[in-house]
Amino acid sequence: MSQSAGLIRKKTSPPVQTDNSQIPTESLEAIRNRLNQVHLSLRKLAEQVNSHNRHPNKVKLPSYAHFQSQFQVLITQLHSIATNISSNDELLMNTNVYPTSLFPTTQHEGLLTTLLRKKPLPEVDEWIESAIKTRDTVNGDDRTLQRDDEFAEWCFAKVQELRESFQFYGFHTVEELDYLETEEGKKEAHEKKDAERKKEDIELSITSGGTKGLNPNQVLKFMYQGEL
Amino acid sequence: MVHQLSLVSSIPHSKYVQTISTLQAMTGLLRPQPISTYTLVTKPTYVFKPKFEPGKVNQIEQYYMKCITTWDDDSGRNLDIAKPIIGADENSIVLVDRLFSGNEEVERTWTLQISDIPIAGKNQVCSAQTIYESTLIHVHARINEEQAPSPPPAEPPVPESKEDIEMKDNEDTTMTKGSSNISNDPDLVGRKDSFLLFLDNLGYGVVNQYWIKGIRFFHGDIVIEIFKIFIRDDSHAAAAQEQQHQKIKLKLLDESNTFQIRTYINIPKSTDIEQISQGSKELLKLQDFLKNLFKLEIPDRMFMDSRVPLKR
Repeated sequence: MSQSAGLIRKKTSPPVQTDNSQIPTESLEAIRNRLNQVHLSLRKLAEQVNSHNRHPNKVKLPSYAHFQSQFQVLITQLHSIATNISSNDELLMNTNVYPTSLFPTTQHEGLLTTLLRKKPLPEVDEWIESAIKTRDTVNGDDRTLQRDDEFAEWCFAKVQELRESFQFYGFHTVEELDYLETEEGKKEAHEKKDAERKKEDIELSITSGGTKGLNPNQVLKFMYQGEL
Repeated sequence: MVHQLSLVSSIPHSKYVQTISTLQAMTGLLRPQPISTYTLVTKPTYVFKPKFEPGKVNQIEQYYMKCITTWDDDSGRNLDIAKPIIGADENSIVLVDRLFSGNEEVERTWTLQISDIPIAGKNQVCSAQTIYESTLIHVHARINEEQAPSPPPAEPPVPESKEDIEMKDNEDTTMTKGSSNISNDPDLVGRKDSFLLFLDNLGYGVVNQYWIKGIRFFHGDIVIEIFKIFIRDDSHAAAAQEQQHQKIKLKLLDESNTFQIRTYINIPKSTDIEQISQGSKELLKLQDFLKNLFKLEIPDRMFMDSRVPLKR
């Protein structure tokens, strides 16, 4: 951080006096943090994939869901960088970067050239170009996107439908439920209920109308003193 | 004298089969011992009020006495407690032979039992009480005074006090021993009511009677009893039936057909602390083992109080 802060000066500031007040530290810091995050997550992902490639037997490839969430994170991070950059674009456009007199130019010449480079690398140029191209082609054929969306929606609905036919409630199988709907089934259910009622009646008559039994203590009192 | 540790519980009739099967499996006793007894609850006829004397034991109390004999007539033998007894049902009428009718072939033996109120105390794991028991083999008290070879051992109305109990215990045994020689002429008529007369002479009057039918399991030193109590049916309908059969009609004490459960361990001496603690441990183990079948609880000692309340 101190290095990059030391390198960056607005062109209006006098060269000898190190006046740091005009450096847009906050926005630069924010962008740097975001970049760092993206860098980390990308490296982690690359490591996972590479280690699988190197030892396919030892290391398992992360699951699909894992990739999905990783991409989700990356997208969020990239999005936040983009907003950060675009909100600071005026500042960034008007800023020139040069080393201060304090910077050890000769010792860190390599680093300095990297840091001062403004032109994108040729491969980055290629990426940008291809990205623009794909965007154009997709935009040119609006239907493809729409069709994709429609397809996704259809898939979702289908999954819901399938899932519903595999969710069961109650204690009967579909066959049993169907059987219960028929005449015979109704009869059987009725009989079962009758049998249960009979059982209850017997129980009631045994317990002389469902009265609760005497407490052992009461019985003991009768046994010891001859009265309840 | 025996020191008894006990726990009690009860189960509804519907759980009987399950309980029996479980206990059979636990005890390994496929044929539990049947219980079939008849009990008279008696009470001292005369109030005993000793003179208050300083320096002497003054807490002298009178106790109810249980007189237990077997219930071994046909109804007692054939009654199946696995079947519920329903008052209105014709099939489940219990009719027992009249006792003291004098037509019994063998003289009844009676066990007289007096029990102390269970020991009080906090943090008890089971009820502990002392029981005094004596079995009477023969009574030579006779109704017919002319036939009696010797006057009945007309004991004065013995006041039952704590100290007297053991003494009485001895008296009974000596008395029965002595009388066995005289009774070589078993006169059925003379035997009629002789026990009641004996009780009367002893100074006790009958308060109530009940019949017990049940089964008994043994698990180590623990005795597990499951039973129902019957009492005499005093209703009008019952009286008519009794007339018809010349028998006594019984009904359940607890008409909900609930079974009573008693588990107990008898320890010969109330001073044998080691055996008592061992016994209570065993009862606790049983309680824990059977906790999902029925809940064994400590009976309330006040309900097991067989002291005669003093009337002033």
